Amino acid sequence: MQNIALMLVPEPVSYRRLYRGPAVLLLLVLLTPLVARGPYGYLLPLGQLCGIYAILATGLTLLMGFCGQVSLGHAGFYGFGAYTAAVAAASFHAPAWLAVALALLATGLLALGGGIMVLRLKGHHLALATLCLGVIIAEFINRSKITHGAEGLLDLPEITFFGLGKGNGTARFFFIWLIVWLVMVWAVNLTDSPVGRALKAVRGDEEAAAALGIPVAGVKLKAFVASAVLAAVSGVLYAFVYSPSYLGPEEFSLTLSVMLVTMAVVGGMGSIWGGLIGAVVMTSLHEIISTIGTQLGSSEITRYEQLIYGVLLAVMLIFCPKGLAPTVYGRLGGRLGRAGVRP
Amino acid sequence: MTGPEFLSVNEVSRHFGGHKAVDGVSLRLRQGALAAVIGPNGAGKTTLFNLIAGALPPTSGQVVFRGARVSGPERASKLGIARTFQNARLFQELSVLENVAIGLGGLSFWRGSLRLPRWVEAERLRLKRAYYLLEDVGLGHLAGQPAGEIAFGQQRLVEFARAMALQPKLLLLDEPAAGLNATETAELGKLIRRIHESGVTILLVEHDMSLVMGLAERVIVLDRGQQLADGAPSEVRANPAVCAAYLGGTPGQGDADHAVARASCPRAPGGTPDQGETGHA
Repeated sequence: MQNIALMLVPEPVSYRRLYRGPAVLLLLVLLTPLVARGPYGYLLPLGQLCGIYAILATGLTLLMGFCGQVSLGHAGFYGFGAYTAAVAAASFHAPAWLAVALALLATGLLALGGGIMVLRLKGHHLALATLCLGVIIAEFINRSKITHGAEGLLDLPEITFFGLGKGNGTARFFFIWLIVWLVMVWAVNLTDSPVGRALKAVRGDEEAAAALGIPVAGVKLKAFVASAVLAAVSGVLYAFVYSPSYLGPEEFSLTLSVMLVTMAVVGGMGSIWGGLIGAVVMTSLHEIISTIGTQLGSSEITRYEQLIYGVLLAVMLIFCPKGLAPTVYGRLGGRLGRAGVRP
Repeated sequence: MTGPEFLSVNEVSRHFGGHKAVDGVSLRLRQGALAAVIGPNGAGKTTLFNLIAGALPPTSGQVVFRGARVSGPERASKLGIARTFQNARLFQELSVLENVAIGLGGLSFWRGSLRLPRWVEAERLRLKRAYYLLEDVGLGHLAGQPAGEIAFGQQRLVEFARAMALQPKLLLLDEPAAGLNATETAELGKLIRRIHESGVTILLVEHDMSLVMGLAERVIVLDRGQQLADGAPSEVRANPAVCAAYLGGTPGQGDADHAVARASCPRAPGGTPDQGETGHA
């Protein structure tokens, strides 16, 4: 006879099971400042940066891992978001909320226009086209008078959670991770919905997806715009929360675009948690390597940082091609929810 | 019946460079028909099929379904045309159930993002419907399996369930028996008949003659991109032009074609009869 459990009509994933991940995340976020004290105080700014990259990498995971469209230009959207907000606030004296709204809207529109142009391309061509988008934005930021080029912008308004704790590292950390948490709840909801299935269907077989009535071009464009807006969210957090005293162009380089893709791959693109895990691991790695350097009393090791990254990445891809997320899941006790798939 | 024609293919051509894969084919299909398109390899069957499904734009001519032009695959599915593929193209990363649920809509970005209780109710209904569609083809117990991990014959049935999720008025089947054994083919024939009896018009492209001759009430024969014959299976079988097309041109072209010849021409001097290889006899 068939297993009785298998004969049951499948149910949507319950809130309880679906939000197991966000609950664990919330707990970790609340606990971090307890650890990051005294000699470990440097963990707080590091944690802030991890959060900013986690949002970026989650957007890329949605776009690449779920929808199957590569982007090597996301540092550009990140920078565009940061600078739109910063210029609006610093040069045009817009209130912070307006600057943020403008940044998200402008980046969304930019991604919409760019996406319409480049998303008809596939594979390597798409990678190159998005890379060009990123480079164009980076060059603009670097050379324009509006952005003050390499000098950067100084003394931006700092935004905090209802104005609490200006300039306080813990407050900044909580504020950034509150946004990360909201993004993750949103992403978890979206990927466990017909939209999530449609994204994977487009990645799997565009022709079959279209035959089943999925608007393939529209789905790709939405994923592209959503991931770009997430990049802009990160940009705004970078400009107004992480580093309000100074915003310079060096953060938004092509190298970062490549790094973001690496984060998504290392974390594991098959899972919505991959980007966050990859971002935290890769961002911390830099810190770990420098710390080991100072412990050893020489900066010798930091000279080999890129080399260490390269070796680790190669080892990862060979032995753990699905990324870190599936391994973390195994420890959390089974796969997280998906419709019709039993844990 | 007055109203618009159910399916009409008007002088449709599709050229690939200099090659005329489909060259000025016209055909009409009435609602409730169960028709098959056959022809030797390279006759343009699959191209014609893709033209009707909107997957390929025609070089000239047009396909009109219930008064509306079929201008693309998404449009076709909205008009009520569903299709299957030659090699059961399921979404490997999705579960069997999720594959069927793809055709059930609910693509609202915002509602999916918020996941309010009312949305969860709608999702529950979708999954339930997907499950019953799977049960309909006898595969409810596989709902949670990754689609890439089930047997090929089962994948094909899932593909049927997935197409039926669109509640199509016209179902296009691209070589539904390809890669199936005799038992599976017979089962498939029953399923196709059952779907047809539920009121769905069916057009299939098929190599397996035992299936076509037993199932279709009308057979359209293509050869070199043009329509060669059109009629009841018995008429087509007796048509000398059809025999010539299958046997004349290039001898020893393939077992499947010879199987057609043996099935369709009573006194056909078929190639070397090799029952083992054709397998469908």
